[in-house]
Amino acid sequence: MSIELHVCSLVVQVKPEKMPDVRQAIMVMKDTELSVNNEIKLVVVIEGERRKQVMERVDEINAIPGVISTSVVYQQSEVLEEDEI
Amino acid sequence: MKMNRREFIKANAVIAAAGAAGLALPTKASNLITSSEFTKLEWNKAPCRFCGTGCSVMVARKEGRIVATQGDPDCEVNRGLTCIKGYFLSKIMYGEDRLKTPMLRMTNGKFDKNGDFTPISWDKAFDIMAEKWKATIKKKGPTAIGMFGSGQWTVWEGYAASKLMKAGFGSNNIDPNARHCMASAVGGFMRTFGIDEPMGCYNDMEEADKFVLWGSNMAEMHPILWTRVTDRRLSAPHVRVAVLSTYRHRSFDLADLPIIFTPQADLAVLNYIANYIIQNNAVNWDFVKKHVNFRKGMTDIGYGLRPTHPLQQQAQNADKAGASSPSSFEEFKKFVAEYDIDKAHEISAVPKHKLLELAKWYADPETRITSFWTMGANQHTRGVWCNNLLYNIHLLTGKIATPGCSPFSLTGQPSACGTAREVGTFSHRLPADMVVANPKHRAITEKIWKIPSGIIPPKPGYHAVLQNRKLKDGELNCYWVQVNNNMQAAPNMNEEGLPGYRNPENFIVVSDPYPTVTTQAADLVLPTAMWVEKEGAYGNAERRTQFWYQMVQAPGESKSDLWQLVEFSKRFITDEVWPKEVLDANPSYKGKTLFDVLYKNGQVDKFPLSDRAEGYDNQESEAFGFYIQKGLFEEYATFGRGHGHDLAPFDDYHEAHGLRWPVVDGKETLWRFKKGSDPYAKRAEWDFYGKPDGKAIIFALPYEPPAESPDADYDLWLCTGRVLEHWHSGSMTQRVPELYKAFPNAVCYMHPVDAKKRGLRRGDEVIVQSRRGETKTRVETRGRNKPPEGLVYVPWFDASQLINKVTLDATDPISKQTDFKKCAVKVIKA
Repeated sequence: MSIELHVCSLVVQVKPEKMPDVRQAIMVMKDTELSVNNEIKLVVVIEGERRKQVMERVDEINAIPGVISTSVVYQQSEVLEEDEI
Repeated sequence: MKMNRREFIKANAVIAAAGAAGLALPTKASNLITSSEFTKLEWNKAPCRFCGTGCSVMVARKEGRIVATQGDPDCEVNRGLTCIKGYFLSKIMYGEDRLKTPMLRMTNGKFDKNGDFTPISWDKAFDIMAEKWKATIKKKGPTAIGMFGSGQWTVWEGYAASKLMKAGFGSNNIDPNARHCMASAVGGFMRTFGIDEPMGCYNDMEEADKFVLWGSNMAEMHPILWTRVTDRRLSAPHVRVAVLSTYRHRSFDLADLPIIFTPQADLAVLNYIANYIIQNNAVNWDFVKKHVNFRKGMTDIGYGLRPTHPLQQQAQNADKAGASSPSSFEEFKKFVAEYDIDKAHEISAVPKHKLLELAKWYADPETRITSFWTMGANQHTRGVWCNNLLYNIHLLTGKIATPGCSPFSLTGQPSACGTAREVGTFSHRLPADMVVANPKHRAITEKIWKIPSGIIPPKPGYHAVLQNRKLKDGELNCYWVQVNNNMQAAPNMNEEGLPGYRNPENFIVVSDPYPTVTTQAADLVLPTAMWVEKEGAYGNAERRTQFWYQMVQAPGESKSDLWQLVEFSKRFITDEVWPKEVLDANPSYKGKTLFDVLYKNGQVDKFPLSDRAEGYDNQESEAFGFYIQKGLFEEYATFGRGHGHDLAPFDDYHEAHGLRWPVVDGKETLWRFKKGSDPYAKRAEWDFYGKPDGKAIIFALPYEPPAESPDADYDLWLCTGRVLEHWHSGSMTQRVPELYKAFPNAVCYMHPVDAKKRGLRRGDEVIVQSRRGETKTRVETRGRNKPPEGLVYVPWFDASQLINKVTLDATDPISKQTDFKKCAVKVIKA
């Protein structure tokens, strides 16, 4: 059995006063991993079995109050073998 | 440290994103080297093929398939970022319904305009095209032949097409879809500066103190540029952003000064700001005295409608719309004096304190200010005026061509600048800002093209909207459309476009990768290679030229537009298309094919196949036997080198991640017209060298009403436009399932009060109707666009809801660009 793996990293621009709230909101979202940030930008990695899942996470992040923009930096799609799942 | 593949991919993604954001990772994380051994990915750069921003994307090939993309960290435009459309770039080539073979409408094995699409060979396709073209030229002459191209053509495709039409068939009836988006910007540049395209560059976004958006929703339409403006706004506390629009959209999320104005009132607001600058002694006299002339423009110029339209007949000066006469500062001062805050408020409905605040931003000599505009200003029956008035306020204050001070016309398409404008694929233009009406320009062009004098006709050809009218009238009979979906894009399709294409006298050819509304209306459809299926070059909104290699094979029998144009040229000999008297005077050209005289002319075929880079296919060069892209580019570049449009040598662009012209001595130019940053600016501190005396022009131009306004019968304004997820008519992005699902169908954005008044609820099916036609859609009272009462917004990407059945084909009389932003409609329950 094999599954698809879609990975995508984003840079999110955030109003500085909202940064803690936005981080909090992303932290509880599934399939997302919060990485580094400064006062106005943060990095998120999203993974999913379909691109649609990834898109949905992007939409959710866009909808968080205080988020001004999301930009995609890196995306890769691979088929994983059973021992890699 | 041992990692599995999943962890490795994620680590790569994090490193790339942190790098793009300028954020440092903990040492442990950044030590994960991105070994290509591990994944066997082969990376190449290519500019995104959507909007005019010109983001560069790294594309990864693995065993003939594209498996990864990444924003190009070495491209200054996007510095590693892409928007959601860029994320799905690799998928646009793999839609299930790609066209794979030429198809002709046939019945019983013969062409029949009402027959069904039937697969045929390329040979047979060119047979029938050549037959129709030749018969038409013989019967009616070259003005019955036409072509509609695109700001999505590569540079050499546009150049090859322009040559084929103007030098081959001797017809100026070639126009790009850039007529719908950038013609007013071109008109504005040529009138004010005498030379096309912005003087500033994207670096202005890190330098400005204030940003003003005049009719541009950058957050959705230029998202990566918007991240740069956002970075500046959020990281420098004194920076402010004003957003002006006729409805509220996503860019308002960042606006410190949000302004909603009545459609067309931008003209009054701009004149008010000029008046405020003068009344409050904020004129930069040193600059104005040295670098500016004043002129008064012709008024009452009509609306570019058919001559039989009552509005056209009422207009006093429709036939001399672009005229102007010399004037002075005193006359200009008197002219704008009537645009005081009361009048501006009355016309625009903008609160006075907001008008005043905005005027102060421009007037303050210490503020570096950048104005952005796109379709709001260009798709306007006074679009050229609007561009001129924007330059007025930057010229009065001398806030121009220095870092952060920039009147910046943004572009809609990836190569509206590089191809449509610079190559001169408009019906009145030649390369490097030259025009067909000027005998000297024709002579220069004929000399560079190595064709006899007298081939390029002096009369401008039919522009985009006029082409549809002439098709309908049966005066334009053979018509070739490439790289765009004009049946969906052009205005008033019910009364002009569709009757034109289906006119039994006409033969319509459409080249496209996918079935569209336009291919459906065609007689012959040609399957076309796209983006990295061919070697290409684009030029973006900041004068940046970018190249890419062919990376994958196009499916089936698809061929690039370039191959199609050049291969078709082999079907004609000069004796069939050139005037007899020209051939008699130049007998050495007799009996030659158009391929021989246009492309195998000792210049275009100069570079051997061995000049190509190793490891990349090049379908066209392999077919023709020489490196055709290089030959076309180098011949084209001779037009601009030494004349302020200098392009670098061909090979440099495959190395560099874009270069901004003029490129002189290997150095790109960031700010034009300013001594020290532009090698052509020599005569003074600012040298507007597009004009003989080096002076730019401030134009006195009034507010005039739009062509159509809401009334008792049609009581709402209609504005059309794009959405983030879809590019133009959606022919590519609608085929990416994820983008389709994100925004599947157009909706009618409407104020809740307007909905309630009509007994409508969110989601209700409605008919949007004008005097010209109607379309069915659904009401949306929430979401990203929030119109004021009295205005609705309907995007045009959705082929199942054609809003251009409703729009009016009123154009700017100077630029001939359609006003897609305002006409009168009513909305009724379906």
